[in-house]
Amino acid sequence: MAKTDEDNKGLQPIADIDRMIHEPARFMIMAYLYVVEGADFLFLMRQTGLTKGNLSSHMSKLEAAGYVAIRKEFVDKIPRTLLSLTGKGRKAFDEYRQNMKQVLDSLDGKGADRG
Amino acid sequence: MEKEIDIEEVGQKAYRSSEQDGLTPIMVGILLMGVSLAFSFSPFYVYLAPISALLFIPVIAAIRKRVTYPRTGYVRLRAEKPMKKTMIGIFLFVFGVMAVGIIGVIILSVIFGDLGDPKLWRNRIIQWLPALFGMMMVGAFLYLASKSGQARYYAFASLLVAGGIAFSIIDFGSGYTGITLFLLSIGVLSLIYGTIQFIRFLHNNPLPAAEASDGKN
Repeated sequence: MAKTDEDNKGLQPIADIDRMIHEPARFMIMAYLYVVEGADFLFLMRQTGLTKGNLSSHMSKLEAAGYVAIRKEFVDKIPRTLLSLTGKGRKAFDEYRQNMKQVLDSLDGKGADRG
Repeated sequence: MEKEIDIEEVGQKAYRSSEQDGLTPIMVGILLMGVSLAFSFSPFYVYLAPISALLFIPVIAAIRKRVTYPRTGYVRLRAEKPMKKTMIGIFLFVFGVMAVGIIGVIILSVIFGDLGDPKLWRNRIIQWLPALFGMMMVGAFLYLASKSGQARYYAFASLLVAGGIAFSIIDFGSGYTGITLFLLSIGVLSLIYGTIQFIRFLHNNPLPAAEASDGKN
């Protein structure tokens, strides 16, 4: 039993995985916003391949979580919605990546032990 | 899911997307053609090149606002950081290339036995300007290759160095003809490359339907 507990220690980061980011569509959105200063809806739609409704719904969830800031601005009287990661969102994404790497590393280690 | 989420690749994709309209190579092409024209009058006018480059920036921004962003969306890339390190890197690279060039000229002068003749030194430096310029541009292409993840920039850099050396070796007779023709050639090639990219961009990215583009209005 003690050995099983020891085995599970390596998988502990799974419990820390942020479910808000873990959803593939939201992960894509976060990844794109992570590497840029900001982007509008059209850019994210084209890069992620999500539909307008889908993107809008995920954006609302990310905004509610405090991960994404949505700012409206007018360029030549045309409305543009600029989306960017907040400090909290950036930190959460860093932690998510770190946790995922730990989980996958520990699985690799176990696979190698058994192989 | 991959073991390590490749954020660098996502960044490269975003960069490629922001530059797919071909406007930058068009601007560089026009600029180089202008510089070559300046060289054909007097090398003095070459100092106007950086000023012209600054003037192009708002022009490109205005074109992108009207043509690019309505088609592919707007993205603001992250600023280089730390900027100071980047600037020091650029300065060291340019300084290094110039140092290599001067050492090369000294070696050639020793080989040809004209180390004591300043006029021949000057002529040799002018003669090898295309090779020096080609080597300086390698830095820019290596930067573009790392930002975009596109291997084609390594080929462009190699071609530029080879072309620079070729234009330096060929005897064009008078002083600045070599560098003038070299700049004109790469300017024309850059303009053609950018124009093809721009046409392909317009063809592959038609304007979306006239509804609000951001879905949040």
